[in-house]
Amino acid sequence: METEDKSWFRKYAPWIIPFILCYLIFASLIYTPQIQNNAFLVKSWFTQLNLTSSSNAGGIGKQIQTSKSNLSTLQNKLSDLIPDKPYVIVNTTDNRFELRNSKDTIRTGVCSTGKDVLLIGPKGKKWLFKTPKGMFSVLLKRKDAPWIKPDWAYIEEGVKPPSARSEDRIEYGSLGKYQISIGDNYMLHGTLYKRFLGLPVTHGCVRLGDEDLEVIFNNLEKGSKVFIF
Amino acid sequence: MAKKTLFWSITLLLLLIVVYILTTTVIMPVVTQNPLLDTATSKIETKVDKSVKKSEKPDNQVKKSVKGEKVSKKSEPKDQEQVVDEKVITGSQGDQLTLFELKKTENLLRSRYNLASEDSMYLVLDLIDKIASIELKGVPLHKSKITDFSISNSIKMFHTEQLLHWISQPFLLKNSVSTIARVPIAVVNAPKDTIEANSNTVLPTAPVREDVYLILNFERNLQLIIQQEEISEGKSRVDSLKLSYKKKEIDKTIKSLTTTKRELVNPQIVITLKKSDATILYRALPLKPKMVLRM
Repeated sequence: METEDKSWFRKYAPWIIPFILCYLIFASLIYTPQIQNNAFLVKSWFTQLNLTSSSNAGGIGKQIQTSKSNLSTLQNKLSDLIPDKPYVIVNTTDNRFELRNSKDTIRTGVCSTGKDVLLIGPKGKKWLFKTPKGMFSVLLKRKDAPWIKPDWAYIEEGVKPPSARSEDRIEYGSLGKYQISIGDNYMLHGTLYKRFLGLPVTHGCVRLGDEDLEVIFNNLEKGSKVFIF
Repeated sequence: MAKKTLFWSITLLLLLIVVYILTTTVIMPVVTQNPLLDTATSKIETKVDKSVKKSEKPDNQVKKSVKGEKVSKKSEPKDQEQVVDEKVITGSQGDQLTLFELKKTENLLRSRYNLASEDSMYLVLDLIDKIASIELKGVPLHKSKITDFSISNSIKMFHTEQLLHWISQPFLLKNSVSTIARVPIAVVNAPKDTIEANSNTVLPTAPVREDVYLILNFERNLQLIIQQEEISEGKSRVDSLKLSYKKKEIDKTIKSLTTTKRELVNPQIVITLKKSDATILYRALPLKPKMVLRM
């Protein structure tokens, strides 16, 4: 019995080698990047760092000094890029805002930004309700200004828009107490729907709560920056 | 006897195949390629030449430091000529390492300063301080803590001036694959009347946060993978994205076996962020953003 077992082992054991080789073929096809990565590690054992060479401490000392002075110059230049006046940063993904003065945060809170909807009107006309991203400047600050309802506001409600100069378009109170225009009809303004603050529900403007809006309105001047990302 | 011959023939054939595959896909690329140099040197050297030419202008043409969006190309730092293409040379090992680190920081600041003159948002990836931030016009808009990261050995082994060259200019994104939509736009047809409009009214709810896995392929062969810290529940999009990407990689490997053209090794950086941060980062950046790297 024992001799039978041994002969079976002797007969089939060598076939493990081709099996291992087959496995290696598949593994090397599937895990090429990982094997390459490990191969680079092996290569690094045989590669000297280029940082070492003959001694010239004076030269390197000078370079370190130059580098340090360059660093401080660049840091100053980068600091100069931060706006002097208070500015607002709007995060459209989290629907949050931050009012900053230089590098200090004055106030943070929730806001509402664009709902990212493409409305297709009856004649194929399209409106994209999305808050634009980038850097904007405050162009105009207004108090208690009415909202002149655009066409999409009617089309969205299934109503035919009135004529462009119709007084029916004028609506008071919808934009809250303060309005801060940043161009292309986009504004930072108040809202009647405070329960939706923190959600993406607007047609592109940035809606804020009453207190937040007041603080922002009082801090921003014409020309102040509004960063939206 | 016949079985022995068959065994040795098969073994030899398989062995040859293994050797061929490993030589073509691993040994030759690793031995002959320098992933940081092969793609980087030519581009960077031309850029350096330009910067040197610019710096040759008289000082009065180099405008004084400007603020905000008015950063002009003329205002590139005067000191650029001194550093960008310098080699790390001589001195004690400690001094050399100090200089090396200083230069890396300097690269980061210079790239940030130069990118501030552009209108697009850019990504600043600081693997030393473990921070990924989005900036615009030099203003950091959002900072995310990198909870974990790994750098492939193909980058680590070039911890020399080659690395300085490689990271001295911002990386431009070539293409990206992700599990989330960059802009999740919903298309809505206008209601015909007020009845339809009222019936369509849905109370807004907070958007569902999908699992995030991003593969960003930058120029100079760099691949940045951004994964979420949170463990995804069940079979997610992340798994299917990883699987499809794996298939592509296998196809690429098989293709390289049949052609003489060798695929470049991708230096890879994998970072882990909170899901919310990864989403913000991907959605905030433009389609072809630039990235500044410090490592």
